[in-house]
Amino acid sequence: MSCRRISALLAREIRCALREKNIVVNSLLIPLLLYPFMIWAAFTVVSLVESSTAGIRSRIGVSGVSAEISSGPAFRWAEVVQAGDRADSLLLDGSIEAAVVQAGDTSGCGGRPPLTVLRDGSRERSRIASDNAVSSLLDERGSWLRNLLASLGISPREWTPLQLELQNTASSRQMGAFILGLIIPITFIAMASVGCFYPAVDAFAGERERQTWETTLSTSAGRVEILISKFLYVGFFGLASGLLNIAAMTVSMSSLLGPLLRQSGEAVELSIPLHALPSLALGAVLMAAFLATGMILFGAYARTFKEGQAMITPFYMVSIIPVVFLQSPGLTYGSGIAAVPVVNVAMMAKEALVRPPAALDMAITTLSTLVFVAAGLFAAARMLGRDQALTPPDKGRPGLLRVFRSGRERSAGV
Amino acid sequence: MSERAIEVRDLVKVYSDASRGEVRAVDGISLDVDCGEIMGLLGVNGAGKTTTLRILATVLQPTSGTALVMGRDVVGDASGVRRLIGYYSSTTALYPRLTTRETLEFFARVNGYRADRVKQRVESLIEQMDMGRFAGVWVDKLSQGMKQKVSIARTIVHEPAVLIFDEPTQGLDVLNAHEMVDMISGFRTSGHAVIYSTHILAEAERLCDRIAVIHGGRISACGTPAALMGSAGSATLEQAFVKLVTPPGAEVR
Repeated sequence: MSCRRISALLAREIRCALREKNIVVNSLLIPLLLYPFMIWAAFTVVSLVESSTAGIRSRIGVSGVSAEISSGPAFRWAEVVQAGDRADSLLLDGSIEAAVVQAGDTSGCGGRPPLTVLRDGSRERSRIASDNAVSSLLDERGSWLRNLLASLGISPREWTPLQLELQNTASSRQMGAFILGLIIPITFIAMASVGCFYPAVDAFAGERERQTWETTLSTSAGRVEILISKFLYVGFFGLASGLLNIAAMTVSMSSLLGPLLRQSGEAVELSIPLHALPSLALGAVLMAAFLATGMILFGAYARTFKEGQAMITPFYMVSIIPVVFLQSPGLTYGSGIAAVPVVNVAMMAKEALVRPPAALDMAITTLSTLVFVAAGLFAAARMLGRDQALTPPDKGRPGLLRVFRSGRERSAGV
Repeated sequence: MSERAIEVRDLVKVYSDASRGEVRAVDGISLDVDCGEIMGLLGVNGAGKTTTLRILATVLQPTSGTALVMGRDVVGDASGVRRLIGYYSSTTALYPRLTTRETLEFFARVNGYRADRVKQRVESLIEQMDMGRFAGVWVDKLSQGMKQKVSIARTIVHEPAVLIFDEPTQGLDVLNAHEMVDMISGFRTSGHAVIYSTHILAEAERLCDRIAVIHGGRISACGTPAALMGSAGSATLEQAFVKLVTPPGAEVR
């Protein structure tokens, strides 16, 4: 095996790929620009909605409610409409957003009937108006109680049996690392998969479709050298895609989301801690290697770009599924999970952002991923070593299954 | 005495086809090619020419038999064989997103040409084959004739001793095909061993020192064009060829 030949093949692959619009857009531009654009778009939409709804006052229908309440501070935020006995129908036809009805049994609450807040749960504005009404009425009741107790000479300290306070002991940096730990592993897997996808299709199906596959096979490079160069090519784009995405996401989140969280009273510093960088780098390389291997294995016998997409997509979907379980509260990074592909690397990255992962767990993660990669590349090399790799058959066994010889092929000594 | 470049003995290639069952694409072919000689493989479609050449180019492996290129076995020392050959066929396209110069540099490097002499070799080839006008142009922007030139150049850029051409004029217009045959003819004088497959008889007659007629995976005759015509008792190579590939008793039109 010659490093010189592999580097010549790899340089050729990358040079050609950087001149392919599909690959540049999907593997580099989307990962780089997607999250900044999405966050910018979300903020723009929220700002537009807020500014367009800022001047709108909710219309609240009241029925049987005393003037003391309906014209008091509880409803200053709303336009109050006397609904009489038509509260239901006004709510249904959209004339009002919510209704407050006081009627019924007078046996409780100091001889007053209970207040009922009506809303149309299928309409967002009705839900907001009713929530505001409930919150305002509860404030009103609290204020009324404080005044009553004050008139009786009872201080709030005496009638409050238990005072509750919630305090966050995590530093702003730890909070930022926690939030990034929830987001980075998931987005890295998703974006590295996207980054690998088109180069993997291009590596074999693209070559066969352009009729350059036989050209490549007839060079001095052996099939294992060709396979390794293609693996490095696909892995390179997966890695680049994932890292570009993380960089773009971290920058856009810290510049857009950070200030917003600070405004809401949460102290969060969205930056990747330095101690996490080696583990994250290792995880990124392992994940890109795993995804590249899987996609190469599934795409090695594809004859056309369309067939390549069809063969690789199932692996692409399956590799993303474990991401769903990453947020399970019971799932912790330990020696058991460290042997499960995809999940192990994602958990290692998540752990690394909060605290340094255990060396043994990292070793198991690295070793198990490398075993999967080696096994996958070995299988791919076996496939490419066969005659069918030149022109895969268009009938019979689909995709990866074509690697297995039929009895007739064996007896023919092929 | 000329040096033996290619030695093929009892070459067999069997493969399994989903619709046709077991197919003996090559069925016991033996032939030799010397340095400075152009050997033509003549046959109808499906005769076994391409399979034979693909085995010599190490793209396919034989089921049995041996094939040596400059004394190296195509199975046991495939990598060594690939360094010694330049293989060109109508199914070996160029990488569309590389320029002419990048293409030649890539093939020189990957085929083991000395790293410090790659640029010099590429520039000299560009000048020699008059490709300067389009040396910096992506291959997919070139005309068919220009692509053929680049293909020939990439086949010889690493200075291989043996050249394998599989129907190189397929799809070319008359002028480009003529130019291609002229270029290949020049390799005889430079001492290359050339093995050339075609089903165009005029091309074979004009270019080849010897011709092997392949039919049904076997060599049915081998010799100089004049010898083939003489042994078949025909005035033209076309008549000789038709006689050689037509089963005895079958009507020849």
